[in-house]
Amino acid sequence: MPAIKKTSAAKKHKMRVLVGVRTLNEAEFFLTRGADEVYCGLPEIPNHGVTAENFSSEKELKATIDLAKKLGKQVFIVANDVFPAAVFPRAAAKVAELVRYGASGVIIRDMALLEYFRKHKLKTYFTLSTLGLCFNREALKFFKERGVARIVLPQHLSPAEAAPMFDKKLGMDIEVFCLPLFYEVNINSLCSLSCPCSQEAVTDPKLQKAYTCLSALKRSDDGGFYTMPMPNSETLLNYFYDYYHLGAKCMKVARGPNGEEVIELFYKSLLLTRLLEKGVSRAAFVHEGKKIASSSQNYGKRYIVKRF
Amino acid sequence: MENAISLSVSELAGLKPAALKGFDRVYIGSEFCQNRLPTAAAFLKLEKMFKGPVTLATPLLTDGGLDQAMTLVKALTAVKRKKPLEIVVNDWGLLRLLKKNRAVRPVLGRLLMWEIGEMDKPFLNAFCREYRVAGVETDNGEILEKLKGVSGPVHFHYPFRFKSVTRYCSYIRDFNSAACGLECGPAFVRLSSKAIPEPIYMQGNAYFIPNKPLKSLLIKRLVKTSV
Repeated sequence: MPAIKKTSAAKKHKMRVLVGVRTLNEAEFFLTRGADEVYCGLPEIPNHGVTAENFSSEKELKATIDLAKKLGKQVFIVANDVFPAAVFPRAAAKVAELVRYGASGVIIRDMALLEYFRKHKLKTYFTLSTLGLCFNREALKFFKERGVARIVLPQHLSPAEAAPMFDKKLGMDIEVFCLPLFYEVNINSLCSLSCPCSQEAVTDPKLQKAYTCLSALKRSDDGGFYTMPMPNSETLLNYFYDYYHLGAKCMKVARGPNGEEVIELFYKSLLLTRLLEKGVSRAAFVHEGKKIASSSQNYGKRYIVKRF
Repeated sequence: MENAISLSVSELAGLKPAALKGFDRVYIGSEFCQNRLPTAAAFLKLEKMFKGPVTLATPLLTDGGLDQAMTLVKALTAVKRKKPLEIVVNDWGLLRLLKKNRAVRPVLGRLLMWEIGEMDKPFLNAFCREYRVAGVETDNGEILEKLKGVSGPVHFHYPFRFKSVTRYCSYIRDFNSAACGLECGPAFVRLSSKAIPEPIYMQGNAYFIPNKPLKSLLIKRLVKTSV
């Protein structure tokens, strides 16, 4: 496995835990069981989630902000899509209203939204979504100049490739997914292959469980079968270990429409994070991690809608 | 209407001038893999053979890839041209680095088309002026509709529409930032299954479906991928 040069940030530190939620109940559940932050969407604010991943009312979202304040925790508004012109003024105004109400920050993709906040002299903590395509330190500077304070690191980088972005002098907080448990086969924002989590709806019921990226596909050149490649579980455990030691500040548990699945993902991600915080060796982390991450990458289960 | 042909570096060896006949411009490089950029020597040789404008296509870049791309740009801009060198940019970091380089004109590539398609057009146009963007590219009719209001020309790629990309190379089984032997080649491999609604085509680390050139007043250049 690639050995990453240790930086000054490689000391033992506590990673903040961020979880995506859809209801006040979910927020209360996670914020009282180890999460430091939650993020929430509303259907009227463009975001990358399917409808069932959003809050059903603004009132409930505001109650979640109230709860987080009471607990001394943070709530981020997810606005991680490019805002179409037709909805931009109303959606941007809604984001601004939630920030004024007390949301701790906004997860964005659209640079025009950053400009809107600048013009309205409204400051908040901006996180660039992983959909924002920030793959190197120059891109990181590009977004920092526009007001971004944190980036969600793209999954399609190795720690060796991403290491320059962790340079403390750049002053950017870095958030990572718990990769052994949540890894997308292709680059998320650049994928429009048919699948249940795609922006492109799969309407044929027979195809609704089909994920192109996980299917065996017949090749025309040699007649063999092809499955889209991804790093194996051990590699992803090593990556997560490296990102912690490079100084990742936050670990993200993505939201999903299946509440039970998000709970499972949360507890497993938390276990892996706590192992790192204890300072275990790479070998011990990978050994224990393999047991914890044994049922990862269950896309099908993820997109069954279950609320709690 | 300008007609361009887009070549892969794997096609450069043995390329004959006749293959470029009828085209007004040639693209070389890759929008999908940083290992598929040409060497400066190969680019200049192509430019000499074609005797017309050659565009450098670039993908998303890691820090290592960005260093290589900037070394290439430096070598290419050391040669005097009547017009600035056109570079298709798909990486915000590269765009930032090219901002003050008057020897080049960036074009926003297909990997950024979802970002710029939906984007508030007054903001996008101001952004393009700030970065001296010479045009935007797409291969998608849906995006083309959304590009109404953009102030620069649109370039349309065919006969394939981009659908997805990975940085995890299926040939070397690793992230593709180390030098490789370009085992993937220029071929488009058809992939099919009863589990998916239509076949897709794989070239290197990217996936496509067939498309056709569209008619639109916005389109000022058609870019044909060599197959």
